[in-house]
Amino acid sequence: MALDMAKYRALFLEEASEHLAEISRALIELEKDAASAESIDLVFRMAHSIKSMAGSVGYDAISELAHALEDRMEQIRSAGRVEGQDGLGMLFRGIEGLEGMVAAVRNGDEAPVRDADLVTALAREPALEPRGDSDPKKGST
Amino acid sequence: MSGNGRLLTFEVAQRLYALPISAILEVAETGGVSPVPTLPDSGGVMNWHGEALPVIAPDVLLGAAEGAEPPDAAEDDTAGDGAIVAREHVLVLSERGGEVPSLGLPIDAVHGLVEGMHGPRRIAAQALVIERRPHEGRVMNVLHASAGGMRASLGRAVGGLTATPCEVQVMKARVLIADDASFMRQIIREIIEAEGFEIVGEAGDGIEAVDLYESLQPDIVTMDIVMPKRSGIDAVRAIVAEHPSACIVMCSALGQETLVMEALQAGARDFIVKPFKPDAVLETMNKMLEKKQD
Repeated sequence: MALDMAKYRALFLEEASEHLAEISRALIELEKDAASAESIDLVFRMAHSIKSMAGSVGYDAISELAHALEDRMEQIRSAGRVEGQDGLGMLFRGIEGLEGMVAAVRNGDEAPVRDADLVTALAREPALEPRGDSDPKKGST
Repeated sequence: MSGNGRLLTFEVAQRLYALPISAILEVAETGGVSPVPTLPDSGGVMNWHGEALPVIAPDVLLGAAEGAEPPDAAEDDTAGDGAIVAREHVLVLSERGGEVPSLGLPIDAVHGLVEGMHGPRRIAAQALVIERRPHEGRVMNVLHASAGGMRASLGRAVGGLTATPCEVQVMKARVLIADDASFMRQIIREIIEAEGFEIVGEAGDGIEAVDLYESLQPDIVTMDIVMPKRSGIDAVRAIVAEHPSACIVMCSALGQETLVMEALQAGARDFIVKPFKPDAVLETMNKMLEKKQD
């Protein structure tokens, strides 16, 4: 059987936009509290969802970038907090990249261009060491 | 179910659908009742206890029925060829595991009745409609839920209630979909509904998945791993602890191999990978169904 991709692409735009808005709100929360387990978990889950949705409708560049952000959030979740303004800035860059790609789709691009530099930058961030005062088991899997 | 009731419904069904009497008796035994060989003359239908069946707001039910006449058609219309003169009864056959209030008989017995005719498959019969038509006499249809509404199926009898079997629509299994993304739920729903699976519920988080499993008792669950409130793996553990034979298929994504292994160890039976490939999803679901029926 073949799925009606036009229908699902429209649905993707709607749901991905909502997820990105939720991620933005969570990042603002993380500016106030870098160890907010709820916000860290939410960004992880939203990135994970965008990855799966984008992959389902053939937007591989979005899926790839969301996957890189998801992996980065998994590291942060293990560490229990976002380290410093640089760490948070990297997350903002990731979300801005996703927003740009989703906007391109909304404007009619069939396949957004992949951002290899951003994907590499997200992956290149050094693994964060767990802090003694944090609980690495915070958040759900 | 009392043993003093009357199996009028099954006797009618036997005439309508030409069911083998062995199937009728088997179902009767399940229900603990005895068949009676008569039809009421009043035009009404009684339940097993000999009580008149209530008429349930047919217009409301049929307003959502695909292929059924719109509510206005239920009014008297002796001028139109084949139009309905009167809709006598609309009987709801919904939830499994309990008694159908309007029929006074166990829904499992109704499902068993159909399975006796069509093999061990699940059905989703929702309503039984008896109508009077100018040139056909009494017409009986069984409707069942399907994608987009209800569809006439299973059997149709006209005139003197002689059996006229027609399209048979049976559902393979009852499925609960658990995923926090409605996008993913819709995709999997479309894939498996087209194959004849009945979606009985959707859960948006792990807690809801466990609660809905308890209330719906689905045959198969598709369970996302990453969900809010309670992860899919935790939900599997909770369900399997209470229902060791639960059939749960994990929905995994790229990079979740370790979590898939953890879910399988927790009691999940199989997994499907996102992005979903329809053929692969259906292969896994059918495999699960075969295992469950063995």
